Parts: sequence; structure tokens; C-alpha cells
Amino acid sequence: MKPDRDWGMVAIGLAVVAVAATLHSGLSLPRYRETILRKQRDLQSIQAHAHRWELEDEYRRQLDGAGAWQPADLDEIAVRILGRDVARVTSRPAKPVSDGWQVREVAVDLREVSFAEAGMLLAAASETRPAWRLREIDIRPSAEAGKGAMTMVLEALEKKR
Amino acid sequence: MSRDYKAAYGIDRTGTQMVLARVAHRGAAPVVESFPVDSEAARESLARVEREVKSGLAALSASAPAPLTLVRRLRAPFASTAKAAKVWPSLLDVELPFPVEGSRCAYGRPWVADGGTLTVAAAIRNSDLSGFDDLCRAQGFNPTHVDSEVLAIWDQLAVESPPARSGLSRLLVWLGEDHAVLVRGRGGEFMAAHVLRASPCDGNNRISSSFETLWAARLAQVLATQAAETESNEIDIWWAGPVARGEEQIRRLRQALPGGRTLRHETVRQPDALLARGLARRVVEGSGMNFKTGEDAHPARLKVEARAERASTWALASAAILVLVLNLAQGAWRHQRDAVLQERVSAAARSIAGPGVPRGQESLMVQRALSRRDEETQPFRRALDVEGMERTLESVLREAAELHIEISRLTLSAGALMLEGSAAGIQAAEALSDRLREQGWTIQTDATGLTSEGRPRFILKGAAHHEA
Repeated sequence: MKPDRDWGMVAIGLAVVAVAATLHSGLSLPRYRETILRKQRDLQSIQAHAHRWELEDEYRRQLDGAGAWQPADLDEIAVRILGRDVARVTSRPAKPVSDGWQVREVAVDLREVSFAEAGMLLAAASETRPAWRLREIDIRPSAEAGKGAMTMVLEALEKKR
Repeated sequence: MSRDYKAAYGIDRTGTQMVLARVAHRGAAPVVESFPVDSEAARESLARVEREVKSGLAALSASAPAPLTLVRRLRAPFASTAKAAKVWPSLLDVELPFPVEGSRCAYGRPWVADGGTLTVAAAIRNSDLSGFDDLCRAQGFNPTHVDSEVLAIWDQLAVESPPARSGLSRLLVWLGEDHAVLVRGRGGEFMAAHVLRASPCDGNNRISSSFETLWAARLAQVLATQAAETESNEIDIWWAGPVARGEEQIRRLRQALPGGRTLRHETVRQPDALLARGLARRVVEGSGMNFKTGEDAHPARLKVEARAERASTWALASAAILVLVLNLAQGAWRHQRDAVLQERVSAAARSIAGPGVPRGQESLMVQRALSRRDEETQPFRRALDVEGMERTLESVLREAAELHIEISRLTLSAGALMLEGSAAGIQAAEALSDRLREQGWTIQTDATGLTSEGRPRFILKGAAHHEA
């Protein structure tokens, strides 16, 4: 009988462990579900940003593909559009951005020019590749309508050498 | 009594007849065979039964004679079957004419009623039980179970002929060859039993006059007690037992019953086999008693019980192992699912934040990487911006010109606008503010006096909602 009793104790022991395992499994289910839901939400949230910079990356590829690594000479553009001694272009230190590129900034001081001439200069600068884009402008109109002195800050992308 | 047997025999052996009833499984109708005692057919049947008993296929139940057993209804004064179980022996001891220590006792299934716990108990002296066991062996059989005759017949009557209503007063008259038993109750509930220790019939199979005298005297008392305890003068009387096969015998005994009560009479179907049927059914259903326990236990019954216990043990162990395996499998599946999902989250995070993203910090690292890269790629966005500050400048100058605003200073930078000017009226400044608000600027306008020509001067400051 003793071996039967021993096996009975083993069976009871197994039953207790089985009940404990089932209880543990049941009690841990809400936490597990919460973990899975959280990770699924995280995954969805992260994946939503997968193509966040696609336009920027494509633009950079286009510049690389076209070999457009240096912005145009803004001095030359200013002379071409406005004539000599109208614009004074002062370079500022470049700031690195990403992926081997940096931002070039220049300050352009214009003496008495019309708003239209300033617009032509900006248009010509923005048509180059990489383009010069307006960051700041300070206009101090003169007595003559539609004209004034201007100080601009322009920026353009440049590939680091 | 446990339900370890699927099949069982009940045996009722008298001086002249042996009745064997077999119940093949729970709920099945008993199959009854009857043989002249000491016949060849009886011996062959007993041998067959013995083979089944030894192989554990069936049990064999006999009844300890009613004259040797005492059956009492016990009541414990608390409504707890567990507590009552501890006091049954002492309650029964008071009822027994012999010490409970020297007897074999059995207790039926208790029930709670009216604030107390009740049971039906039976007892037999150890010496009487041994004597009965020896008698059985001498008669050619060795029962695995020794049940109570009184309770077996009363129980079987309730099964075969359930009372029409629960409070119906009933009396079962069992006419054996060497004694008679009177069992009375209410509905199916046992109340008391009385034994007439005399043979109902003489040598000519007629009711003997001595028995008739005893019968008349005892029945008067029994019926009076039954009427008083059930508060009813209507009693259903059921006739059973080998002597009850004879209509003349029953008629004689009915005539000897006292009058003054409404008595309805019925004879049990196959009255001589009622006991055997009850014995067999009670084993299969596990509802009977068994005095043959402990040292007197039948070896075959012990083997069957041990086998049943082992089967239960293995069933429990198997179920437990199955549950454990299922839990393990579920745990493994959960882990796998979590691992796969974690790898996807990590991979997605690495694609944005780079390598070395700690587990659990993917969202945080990704948010930081997003902020950092948004800043780094801003110049590219500005480069791509079709509108740009050039368009904004053009728009501000055009709106001012349309409203005949004279600009004295204009400063425009990322997200900020400052315009000093004058106009014919302050409404022009307000109109310009409105137009700029429509373009997404938050505008604040302050009047700053008049020009020398008397034109209102103002300063207009704006902040953009979004910056490229």
C-alpha cells in the first residue's frame, strides 16, 4: 500500500503544481495582454515614422545624383541681377546638418534697391541648385515708395568636402 | 460505500430458496434468478458468481439478518455533517443493547433538517457478523459486502414504488421464512424497523397461529405508533418477502390487522426477490452499507478498491500532467509571441534611432531620434519649401500695398514678423492684421501715434503657428 500512497502523494503534488501553474497563467494574463498591446502600439507608432524624411532623403539623393554639391556664387548672381556695388555678401560659418552636408549662411546687405529688384535677386538665388533660400530680411524703406535698404540672410546646403 | 463496482450480485438465501439478482451497471434493471437451495443450478450460479468476484468484475452482497442487526435513526443537535460524524458513535452507543466497541457500525448518508443533522445507522455484534460470514462460506459463497436487510428492502421499495407524496405514511412488511420485518417510514424516509422473530408459516406453508397472535399484538402497537408519529390514520402497506407470494397468507394477515384506520395494501412485484434486488443495486450505486470491512474485508474487494484508487491516482496525475503541459505550451507560445513582437519593435526602433536601443526604451529613444533628425533635416525641408519666406515676403508687401500702407520698417524671420508703418486710417492696419491672420499668423497691433501728416502710425507684430 505504501507505494500506492507514495504515488498518490505524487499525483496530488502534480495536481497542486498544475493548479498553481494554471492560476499563475490566469493571473498573469492581464499583464501579458497589456504588454502585448503596448508593444503593438509602440510598433505602430514607430512604423508610422518610417518614411518621415523621405522627401528630404530624396532631395539629397537628387543633389548627389546631379553632382550639385556646392551652392552658386551669390556675389555673381547679385552682380548679374543688381549690378556692381549694390550688394555686399558676407559669409557666415557653415553649420553641419546630417549625412555629410552642412548649411552655408550669408548675409546680404543691399543699398537702395526696389522691392522688385530684391524679389528678382531672391528668385534667381532660389533657382540654383542647391538653392539659396531666404531666412531673414530686414527692410528699411526709403523716402521713395517701393524702395529701401535691406539686409537679408540666405542659406544653402553644401556637401562637406 | 464507494462506487468501485460497475456490476453486483445480491443474494438472498433462505432455507428453501436462493435468489440471485444481478445489476450490470448503474440505472440498469436487476436480472433475477431463483433456484432451489442446494440445487445444481444454484451451485453453478454460485461458482460463476465466485469467478466474477475473484476477477474483480462484480461484487456479491448479502444481508446480515435483521434479527441480528439494529437499525436506528440518529439526530445530532447541530446542522453540520462534519461535526455530526464525530458524535454518531456515541449517539448510537446509547441505542445499542451491546457496546459499540464490540460491534461493527455503519452510517448512512446524513442530511440536515430543522437545525440538526440526521442519519440512519446500523450495527451488528462482531461475533454475529463472524458467525454470519462463516454461515455464508458454509453455504458456498463469500460475499464482498454485508449490508443491512432492513435498509436494503426499504430502499429498494422506494426506488421501485416511489411514494405518491413525500409525507405519505408507509409500512413495508417483509415476510421471510424464519422472521418478519416491519419497516415504517414517511414517504421514502426511514423512521423505524421492527423484527418479529418467528417463522410466519408452519410446515404446510400456512400462517402459523403463534405467528398470527404475535402479528396481531405487534401490529396494533406498530400501527398506533406510526399513526401518532405521522399524524395520519392512512397508511400504505406494502407486502414483500418469499411468504408474500401467497395471496392466502397475505389475506390471513390482513384480516388480523386492527381496524379503525385507512389501510391500502399493495404487494411488491416479485416480492421474494426484493431483498436481492436491493442488495445488488445499493452496491452499484454506492448507497448501501458494508459491515465487512477492516480485517474481515474480502480480498477481491480490497483489490478492486486498490485498483480504483490507482486508476484515480493515474487519472489525477495524467490530468495534472496534461494541464502542466498545456500551461508550458501556453507559456512558450506567449514567450514566442512576445519575442517576435519585441524583435519587430527593436528593429523598427533601430531603423530610426540607430543601434543600441535598450529594450523597453524604444519609444523614448525613437522620440529623441525623431527630434534630433527633424532638426538636422530642417534645412532640407526649407530648401524644398515651395512657399518659403520669399512668398511670405511677397504676400506681406502686396497686402500692404493694396491697403495703401506706408511701411517704415519690415522685419521678417522664421516664425516672426514685425511691421512698422502708417496708413490713412487705423482700419487699414486692422485689415492687414485680418489678412495676415487668415494666412496663419497670430497678430498683435498697437497704435503708436500720428505721422507729421496726421496719418495713424502703428506697429504690427506677428508669430507664425508653424515653422518650416
